[in-house]
Amino acid sequence: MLQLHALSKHYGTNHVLRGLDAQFLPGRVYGIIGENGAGKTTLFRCIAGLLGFEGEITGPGSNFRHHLGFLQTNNYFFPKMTGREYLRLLCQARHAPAVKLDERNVFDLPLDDYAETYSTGMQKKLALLGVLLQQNEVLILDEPFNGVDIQSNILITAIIRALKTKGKTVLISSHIFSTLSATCDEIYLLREGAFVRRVLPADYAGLEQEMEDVTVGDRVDRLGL
Amino acid sequence: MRNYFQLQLRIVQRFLTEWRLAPWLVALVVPVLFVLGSLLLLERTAYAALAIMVLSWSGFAWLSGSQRNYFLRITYPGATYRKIRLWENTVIILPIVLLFVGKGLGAVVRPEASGVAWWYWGALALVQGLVGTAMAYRVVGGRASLKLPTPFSRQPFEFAVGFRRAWWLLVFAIFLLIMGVRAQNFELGAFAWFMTVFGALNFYQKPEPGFYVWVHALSGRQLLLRKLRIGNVHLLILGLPFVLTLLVAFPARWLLVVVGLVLASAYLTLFIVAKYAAYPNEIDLVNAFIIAFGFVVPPLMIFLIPYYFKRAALRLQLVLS
Repeated sequence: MLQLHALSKHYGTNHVLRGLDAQFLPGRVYGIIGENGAGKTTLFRCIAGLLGFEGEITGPGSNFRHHLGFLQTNNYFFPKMTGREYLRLLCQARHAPAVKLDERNVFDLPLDDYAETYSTGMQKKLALLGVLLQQNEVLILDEPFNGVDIQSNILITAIIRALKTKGKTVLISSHIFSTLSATCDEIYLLREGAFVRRVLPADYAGLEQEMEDVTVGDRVDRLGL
Repeated sequence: MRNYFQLQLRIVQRFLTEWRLAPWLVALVVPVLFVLGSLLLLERTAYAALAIMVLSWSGFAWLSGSQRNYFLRITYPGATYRKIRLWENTVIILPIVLLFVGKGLGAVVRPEASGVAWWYWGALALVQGLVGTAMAYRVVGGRASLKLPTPFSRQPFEFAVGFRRAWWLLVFAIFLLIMGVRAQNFELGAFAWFMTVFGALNFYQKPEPGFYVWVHALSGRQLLLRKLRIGNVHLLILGLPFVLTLLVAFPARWLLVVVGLVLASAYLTLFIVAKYAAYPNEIDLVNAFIIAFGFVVPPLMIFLIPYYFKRAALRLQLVLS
């Protein structure tokens, strides 16, 4: 179980995360939603240990970060590194077998091409594939659907469901509500660094409507189209 | 274009200020150091001109990086882009051409010294400048589909990526090695070998993004030992053609080759531990001087390597724990 207790993060006087408490259980998928700048990526980076924080984060095992897969919003690829080498590097880093890469290349990526020459969507899929091949217990997927084609979208949704049945803990952020409602067991609404709501599937439709009302409001009329 | 160069100047000034160096002082000292250092080097060794040319070529290669040039191409109109790249290359090659021309003129004043070679070097530098500019004008990304196979692909990333970026250095070094063997010149062969060693150190120059350290399920010490093991094995593979050729062509100098192997491994080890001792920052100027001093006085590395190793393991542990 991944647990956050009074998790806070601030840059000087700018409080990005404000005392977050949450429990994320194995075999469940959690969605984190919020506006740009709400603190989603900061939260993920704190859980991954890439940022310092106040409060407590505990996870399964003595060092759960060694079993944590992190798909970042923007992934860096070294120039002149092939997709295959990237996958090998990620597998070797977690002592996972880097075998049958062609067979496991479910996104049909050109693994022998340089990763830097991939399109945005292909880079996202390569990074996701790397995280999946590592066989982690906890997965943080920051915007996994960003820039990917509709077929891959369907495949990623199926993969997330499979991760759930395998007992993995999955945290996802996405700006596409339908992808979250199709995969998540719970959705946390993050606003100005705080969890303001925890929503269960029965209330997803209401949450979507509420978000539309708040987000759109009279903004379209104000454009004067 | 003017704005672009003003911005570059401001960036350089910011770097210097970060390193606590007065920009005006650097502007005064660097040209003097370049001229005096180059003249001293040219007096002391026959290969100094070659070394200067290799340095200037690495400058061109850096300026011709595809991401950098892609950015410039989409930002500026074609003509402006070409002018910018021409000026940048000129800034690199002009001092070198002037240096060789100066040496040539000096030889004219002193008729006892032969100055023909300097004119050749000057012409070669000009040609290098033209080739470097032609590289800049090529279609950016046009070679992206070409993939260079590498023996380091199994254990990414430093040597696999570095080899593909600096393959030309290896080709040049092999050319020098052949020249050395043909002329029965051990020193030239050894120089060619160590060109690749220093090229390999360059693979470790930039600190990688935090994710590439974080992703390892290892302690700081374990990761460092893994980096050292893989790095040294790869360095040995890279140097194998040189070592074997030198051993076969100059069997009487086998001991020097063995010393070279130990030295190459020590250089790489020191460079890797120093890199991670500064991680996630780049090695600062003070430590760069200490490392350079260690390279010049190798016994110092016996103390420097353990010192940086401890610091590096702690630095990495901060990311990994």
